[in-house]
Amino acid sequence: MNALNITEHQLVEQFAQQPTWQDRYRQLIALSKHLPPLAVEDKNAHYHINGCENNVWLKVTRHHDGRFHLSADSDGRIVKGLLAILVILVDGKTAEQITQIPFSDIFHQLKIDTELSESRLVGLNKLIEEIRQAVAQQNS
Amino acid sequence: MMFDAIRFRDDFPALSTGQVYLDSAATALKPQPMITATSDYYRQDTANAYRSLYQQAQRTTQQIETTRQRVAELIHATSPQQIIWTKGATESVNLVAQSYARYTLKAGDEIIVSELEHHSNLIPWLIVAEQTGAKVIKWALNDNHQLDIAGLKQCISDKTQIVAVTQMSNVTGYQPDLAEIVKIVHANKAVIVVDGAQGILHSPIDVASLDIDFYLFSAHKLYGPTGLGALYVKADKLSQLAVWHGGGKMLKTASFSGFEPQLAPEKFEAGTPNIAAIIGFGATLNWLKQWDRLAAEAYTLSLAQQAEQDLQSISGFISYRATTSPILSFNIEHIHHSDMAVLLAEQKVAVRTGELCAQPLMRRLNCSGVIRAAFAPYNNQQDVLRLVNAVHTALDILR
Ligand SMILES: Cc1ncc(COP(=O)(O)O)c(C=O)c1O
Repeated sequence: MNALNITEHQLVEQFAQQPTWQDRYRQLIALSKHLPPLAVEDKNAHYHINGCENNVWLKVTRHHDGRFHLSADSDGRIVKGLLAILVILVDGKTAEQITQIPFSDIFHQLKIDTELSESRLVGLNKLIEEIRQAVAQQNS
Repeated sequence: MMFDAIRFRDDFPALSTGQVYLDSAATALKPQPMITATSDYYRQDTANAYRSLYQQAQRTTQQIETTRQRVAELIHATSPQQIIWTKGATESVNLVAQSYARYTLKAGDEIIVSELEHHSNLIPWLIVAEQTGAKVIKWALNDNHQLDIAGLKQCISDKTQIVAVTQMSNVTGYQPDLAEIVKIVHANKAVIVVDGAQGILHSPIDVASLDIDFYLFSAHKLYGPTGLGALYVKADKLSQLAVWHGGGKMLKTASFSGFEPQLAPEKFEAGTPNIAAIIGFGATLNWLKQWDRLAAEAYTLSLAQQAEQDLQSISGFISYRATTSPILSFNIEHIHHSDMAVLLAEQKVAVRTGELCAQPLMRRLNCSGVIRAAFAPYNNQQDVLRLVNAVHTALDILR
């Protein structure tokens, strides 16, 4: 189970129940509040992602059993909500499982891809790419 | 003359999309006559300028010079020969830095730049300082976020060669007292460079009576096309400017041993100019003449004021707006500006957020970014209402 104790299935259900864009954003903000904050000492340049309008920190660590732990934080709530989704999808999985996550399908199911502006989606894809790279690196 | 806001708004086809456009400080919308003139040039009048003798080509040259004349009239330059076409405000500042400052500055000289400036009126000075050994000195804002004369007097000295200041801040909308500033700058035998990128839309300027040495702006912020700007140079400085870009039409004679440059302004306009933009801008300026700009500005101010007043009731609301500013930059405590931006965009309210190309000013204002609603005379009460409601809806989601 991931750090938020919410399954992918529950996540999709939660978003499916939201009738309007306002509700979907509310859901995202609610999720952001469940994301465990990153330790202060981890909010450093090493984990900082450059080129985002918000400050974003991503920390990917590999457990001895081959599972990955993803923790993340941001100063923006919407981005933090998106990070929470990534944690739900990625945290506690193996490298192989992570490479198989159909991110864009899931975002489509959550209706997040239609909501977010083009630049936000690019940003989101960039975060996914960062995670994939960190996973690949630590797995080799 | 009364300002007919409804008729004014009608001239902007972009407003028919239903979006609330509050990003006029980034770029102003375009009136129909400008769009028509630009498309006519491409559809039926295409020709290069200053070159061929057939009718369209001659007319094109004529139109470019007419527009130059209109710019001169707009800012009260004594002669159109003092108006140099550039790509925009940014290129204009770089031209002054590289054609004037680079040849006049010596090691140890100083360039005073105000803390309000857009990066476009800071970085070119840092570059030329690096090239010449001169130093860039900050003219700091006072506690009221204003540029006071005492502050200028503190940093100006006989080492000061250039003072660079904006006509209007793109963040707070503050307008420094240019008349006073110019007096002090000239008393110290320095030159003044005024960035009119924001001011040009809101405040008519008289460069001659203010005795400004260099004044510059971008056409796109004054209902004009992108890719075009102007640089005004005072007559006695014009002869001191060194050649800048080399190429076609900036010279009288050329051979393998050298060239003899044209006189200004052609000397600084190498290559084919942005003809379509100049023609479009000519149409903009012609269209602009029918409006009472002071009345239009008073109307615009009233909108910004009303928006500020209505938002004031939100707890944690912080306004950075200078009194009499058409630009309302703000924050709401504990709300990230980019979260607000996303949710305003969702509601079809176009604002700008972030550092607004003014990182030093952001540091001074103690924030990582702001939300900016920039009003123009084509906005209306409905726009104010939609902005205020959209902010409330966003807060409702975020809080
Ligand atoms: C005060 C100020 N100066 C300079 C500029 C640069 O203008 P441009 O990007 O058109 O060259 C801007 C544009 O945002 C501005 O607001």
